[in-house]
Amino acid sequence: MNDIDAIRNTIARFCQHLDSRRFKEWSETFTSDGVFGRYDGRQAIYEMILGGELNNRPELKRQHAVTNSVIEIRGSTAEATSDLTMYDKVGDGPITVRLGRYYDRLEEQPDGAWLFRERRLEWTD
Amino acid sequence: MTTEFEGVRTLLARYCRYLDDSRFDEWTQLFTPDGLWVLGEREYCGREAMHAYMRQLRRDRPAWRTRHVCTNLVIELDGARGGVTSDLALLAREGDAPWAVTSLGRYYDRIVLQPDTASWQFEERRLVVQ
Repeated sequence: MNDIDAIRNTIARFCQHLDSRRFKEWSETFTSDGVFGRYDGRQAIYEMILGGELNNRPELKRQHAVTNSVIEIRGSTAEATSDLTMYDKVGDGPITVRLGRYYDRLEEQPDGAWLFRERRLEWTD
Repeated sequence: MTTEFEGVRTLLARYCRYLDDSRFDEWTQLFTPDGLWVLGEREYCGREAMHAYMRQLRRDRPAWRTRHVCTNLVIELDGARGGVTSDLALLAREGDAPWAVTSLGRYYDRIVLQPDTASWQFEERRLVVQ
């Protein structure tokens, strides 16, 4: 697997795990010392998401649709920016949309996997 | 040089393109001859069953148009076989009504690389709507 394909898989897994409420697997897309916004370390990131909407509103269906990834790899680190189109549906209500952008640093792990060392989401509102 | 991953991405892109353009012959050719297409609870086995479903849909809703927005591909390959999961946001419009996001879902695929054409096909594609 090329590095770029592994990075794309990680970016996609972040979304799929989160939307499927697989919070442990989602947190493991980060390195153990990874940073997500102001949350420092995988454990803090995991605890943050447990307090979030997806874990506390079972009627919420969400899709983090990520597109337009621009990825630059330098050896065993990479930078990526991606667009987020986040769809929400509550019960039988209409599907609403929010937009954002992800700014990432990823690192290659000893087993060849690429994980987020740092991820930041800026909402486009 | 295209990698296999690009070939897989192209398969998934063609699926959306052919469906959205009502190119049903080409769409069914993306499946192996005994391929399986699963829509929620309903299963369509083989190209003729898939084609018949689409023809019926077009008869029932002739002014219905779609745009399949497929993202978040997770691709795992093992030689000439593979599995893909991806997300779908289905946009649709009926006649002159505005485009709207009508459903959200996830595709679960088993794919196989055909040696004679060097292209990937679906052995099975399953759509689970959220």
